Formats: sequence, structure tokens, C-alpha cells
Amino acid sequence: MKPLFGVLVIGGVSLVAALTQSWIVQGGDNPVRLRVDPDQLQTTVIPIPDAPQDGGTPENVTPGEPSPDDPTGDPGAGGSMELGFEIDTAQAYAIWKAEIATFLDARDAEDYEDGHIAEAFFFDYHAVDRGETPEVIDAVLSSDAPIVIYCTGGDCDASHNAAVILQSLGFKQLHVYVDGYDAWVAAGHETETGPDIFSEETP
Amino acid sequence: MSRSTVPLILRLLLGALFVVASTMKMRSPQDFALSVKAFKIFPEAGDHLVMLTTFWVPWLELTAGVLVLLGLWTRAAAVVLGALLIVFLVGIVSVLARGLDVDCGCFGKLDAICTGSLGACHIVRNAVLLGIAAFLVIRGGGGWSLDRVLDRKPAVA
Repeated sequence: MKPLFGVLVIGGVSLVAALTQSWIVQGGDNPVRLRVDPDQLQTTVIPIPDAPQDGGTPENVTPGEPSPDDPTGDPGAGGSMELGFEIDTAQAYAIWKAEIATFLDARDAEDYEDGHIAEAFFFDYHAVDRGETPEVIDAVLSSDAPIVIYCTGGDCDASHNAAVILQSLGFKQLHVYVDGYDAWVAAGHETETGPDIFSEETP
Repeated sequence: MSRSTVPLILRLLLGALFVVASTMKMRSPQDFALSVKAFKIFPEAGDHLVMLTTFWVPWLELTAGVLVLLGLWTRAAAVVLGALLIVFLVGIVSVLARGLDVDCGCFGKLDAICTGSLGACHIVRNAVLLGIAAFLVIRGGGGWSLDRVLDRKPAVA
């Protein structure tokens, strides 16, 4: 009977402490976030990279149709694509080709070193939570330019988690490349190997 | 000699491990919350459950871990740690069964004994720890414990 009483006391005391802590943390400047806030996101509009392939236009594509108000519209060319928060391989490759976004690799440092999307930077989002500021944030990220984050693909969660962390830092133009690195490699797109360029400078 | 030192060593090992684990989790609740979410145990709409886990589990670990270290209420504290280990084991097995690629988050960003994504190593580690907790539940805290000191008091008085 006595151990049962002890279990209840331990559980109860811990629960009170947990509720107090959560109340303090959640009420503070940096509440715990589990997902991105869709109202605080910006989409990115990029030009369609290639002429429309036969078989119709892809989804999310606005063809450059001439409108009565805009006679300069050039039919069949100059269309644009609006990217939402989650993007697939075709969209990721289009924005990579357009060279307007910064790509961030949310996988482990070892995976990054073994191979990553060409010109992508390593991003350890755990470091932000430890109170550090990874150098990549100040060095290459801009609040005016889109940021594409990826992890392995499939069920990996790191890219979404990294997006939550980046949003808490004030970045809005965030995109998660959900198919991830495996799909990028499978599609035969550009990759490179080598360690994180900022890693030597962080102790 | 071994009669009282074995429980003492096991208590120090188990208690210290859980105190370390709890402080690592408390240091970065955001990280632990995302780890809990990555397990995908709770439904999409169950964020309040993720939050409850995020804050309650470290406190359970800390309270029970300290009690086990002191040898105070050893059996009850070991029951709590054992129950936590069973829950963790179920979580890990379920993650592996669903083929998810998830970091443990057991010790925050620190890897203790097992490294990398969840795998068989984590199951073995937790099973061994569960064995230690079960031993303490059955045998109690042993000679070098506050439980023993408090038990003696009435006899002296």
C-alpha cells in the first residue's frame, strides 16, 4: 500500500511542477512551438523554368495569359509558379535553378558531409534551442529571400522542426522540401560533398 | 558486503542517469517537444498531450531519480521509473515498427550509450534499465539508503 501512495505523491508533485514550468515557459518570450504558424508565412513566386511540357501545365502554375488590362502579356511564356510552405522535387529544383533561395540541410552533420544538395548549408536547429546562434543564420539567411529546408525525406521530421525554429526567429519565407534529399538524388539533381563551412569556426 | 552495495550501485546508476536525462530535457523544452511530436504517437490534434508530455516527463524523471539516488521511497520511485521505461520502450518499438527515422531525445541532444536514430541499441538499453528498476522494486534500496535509516528510527525510539 505504501509504495502506491509514494507513486501517487511523486506523480502529483511532478505534475504540479510541470504545470508551473509550462505556465512560465509558455507565458515567456519564447514559447514552445510544435508547428509553423501558417498566418506568418509568405509564399514565393518564381518563373516557370522551362516551356510547358506536353500533357498540360503542372499544378499551381499560372500561365502568362494576356489579360485585357495588360496587353503586354506574352502567351505561352513568362508564366510563374507560386510555392506554398511544402514543396515537391519539381518545385524545389525550379527554385534551386532560379538561384533565389537559400537551401538548408536539417540532417545530421555526418549525413551532410556525405552528400547534400549543391550549395546547401548545414543547419543544426537544436543549437538554436540550446541558446546558440548558428553562424549560418547571420551569415547567409535573409528575411527577404526564400529559405528551403530539407531532410532525408519520407517520414523525417527535421525539416519541419527546423522551419518551426526559423519561424520563431522571425523568418517568414520558409519552404519545406518534403520529398527530401533521397528524392533529390533519385531525380539526378546536383549534389556535392564536404563538411559544413561554418563548423571549424564554432567550438 | 555485496548485499548492500549491489542495490547502492544500481541506485546510483539508475538515479544519476534519470537526473541527467531530465535536466537535459528541461534545458530545451522546445527540442524535447519536437522529439515527442516526431514519435507521432499522439494524433495531429493532440498538441496539448505533446505539451503535457514535454513538461511532465522530465519532472517525473527528476523527482523519481533523486529519490532513487537518496534511497528514499525507493520502491515507489523505482515503480515510477519502471513505468516510464515501459512507456519509452513501447514508443521506441512503435517508431521502429512504423519505420520512422527519429532521434531519441532521451537525453536531449546528448547521446548516452546509444547514438544516432532510434534502433535496437535503445531497446536493449531501456530493457537493462527496466531490469534495474524491477530489481529495486523487489529488493528495495538496500543498506545504504534513507529508507533503511528511517526504518530503524522507530526501533531506537
